[in-house]
Amino acid sequence: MLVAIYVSDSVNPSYAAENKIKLIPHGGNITTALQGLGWNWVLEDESINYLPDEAVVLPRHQADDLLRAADELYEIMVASVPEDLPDDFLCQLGIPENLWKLVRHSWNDERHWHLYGRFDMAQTPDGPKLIEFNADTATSIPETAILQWASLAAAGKHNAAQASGLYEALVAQFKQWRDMNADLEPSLVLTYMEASAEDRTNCEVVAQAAQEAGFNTHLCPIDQINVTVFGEDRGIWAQVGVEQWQRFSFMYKLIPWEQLAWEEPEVITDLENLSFTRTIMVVNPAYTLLFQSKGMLAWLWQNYPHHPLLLETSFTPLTGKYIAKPFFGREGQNVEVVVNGESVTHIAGEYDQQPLVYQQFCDFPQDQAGNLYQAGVFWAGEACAIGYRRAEGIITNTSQFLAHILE
Amino acid sequence: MKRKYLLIGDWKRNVLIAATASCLGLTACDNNNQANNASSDWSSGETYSQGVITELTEVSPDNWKITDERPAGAGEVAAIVKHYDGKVDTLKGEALQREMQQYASVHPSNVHGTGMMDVLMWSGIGYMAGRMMSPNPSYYANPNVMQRTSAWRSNISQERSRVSTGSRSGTFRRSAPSSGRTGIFSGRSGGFSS
Repeated sequence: MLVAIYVSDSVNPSYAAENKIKLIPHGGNITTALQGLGWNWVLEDESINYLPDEAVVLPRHQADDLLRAADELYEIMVASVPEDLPDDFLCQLGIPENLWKLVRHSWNDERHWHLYGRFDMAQTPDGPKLIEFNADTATSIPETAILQWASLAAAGKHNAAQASGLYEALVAQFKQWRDMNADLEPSLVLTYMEASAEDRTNCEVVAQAAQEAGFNTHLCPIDQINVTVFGEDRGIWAQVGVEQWQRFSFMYKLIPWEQLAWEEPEVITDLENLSFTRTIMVVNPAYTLLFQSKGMLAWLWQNYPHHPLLLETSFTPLTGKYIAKPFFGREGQNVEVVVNGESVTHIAGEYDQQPLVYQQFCDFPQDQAGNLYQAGVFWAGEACAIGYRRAEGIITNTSQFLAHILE
Repeated sequence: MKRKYLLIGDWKRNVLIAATASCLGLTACDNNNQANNASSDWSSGETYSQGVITELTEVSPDNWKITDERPAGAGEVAAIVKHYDGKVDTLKGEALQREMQQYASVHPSNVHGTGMMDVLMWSGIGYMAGRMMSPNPSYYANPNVMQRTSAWRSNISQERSRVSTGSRSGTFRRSAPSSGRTGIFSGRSGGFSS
């Protein structure tokens, strides 16, 4: 049994009891910058609310608390994982069985490096609370690393400060990953679903950071890579020019591990083959699915009951008001709010066949208009950046992204 | 405790912030930004192993589209310009460079216009000159035209990163390994944003 040592303050009296979010209008227009960068998806209809003309004013001590919380949560997550990853632990977290070998292999070999993830948190009068950890395929990288900076720069707020050091942290992480794997060619292919301009743009920022760390990089839709496990051509290949294919030693995938495991099991077998022979290194590594699984939230509560950064979470329904959510849901899909055994809100989605965890309901901070705010705290080796999303209810893929400014 | 609080006014802190600052017009006079560095690269010699030939057509008065685009030999960079009145010009070499420099002195970053030079800067030629990181389909007559140069663009991007990191390593072959698996998730639509 792990010994829980809690270093966070349980109650921070400097939080307003009302739990309000303060906003400033800024009027920074970044349309020309977006066009110049070719990031038009931000301006497309479906994302039109991505960056309203307002910014969250974040007191510096709250930013400190959020970043410190992410660092501490990462530590307790790692510490909570039992040695040798027993079968019943992997079952409890819902890890697909065909991934177990890769999860164990990557966990036991430090050269499989966790590049980055995003902790979604609620700021409460009792301090930040973990909602979930997007450990495997977190997005909103361009918004957090570049756009929230750009909107305030465009508004002329040049003397203001912001927690937006995601790009710099990614560069440092890539350097470390490269150094640990100096026996491999520093060639990195970044894979994504071709249909998503948003996913591609996330990859572009990651690719730029990798280049700065000394990788040569290539972006390629996942359906166009070639995975070969036989003979001297073993490896992951992508077409980089006319009659020119390149073999890559490193792969970044903006593709969830569990989806690969369920829908493309043969690819998992191939990746096992190529990972065990050190032909390919993948980020984020397979073990990050342990943290990504919402089963981890219940596991954490079992191991660190009443930890000040956690909400009570269980594998079985709670009493009172709670949220039921699928182990591997995304963007709020299939989330259900239950009060005294009755469902009061239910978001439709494609994850309704998955096991559920039950998390104590938590009030998010609000602005004067009643919008709810969720803080996304990026971790890349350490907590490095904050970005806000807001919605009238549960945070989904249509939520607005807001810049913040420190006070 | 070291914390990542960064000053908004520090736009030299990384290459993407610097590029964005340039697009916002914050550093229009700063010759150290990436776009300006790149804009002299392709014309000054054998930097890239391939060039590009772009065809621009004036589909209605002062409304231009990229109607064809093909990779070309090293050092070969040209725009075939088809005017609305039927006249056809070819812009290359010093004349092309002069036009682009003139345009860039007024528009340090790409703008949303339909004029000939606006559109040219969104083409493969503009890409070579470092005017944007990824092409915009709205300047192409159709997505297929844009696709014709996607492998070429990857190549340019690769060469650019090798130039900037000073390394040239890698394992290459002329065709895909025949026993490989492809088409992962080809039946799926949409991304996995989260």
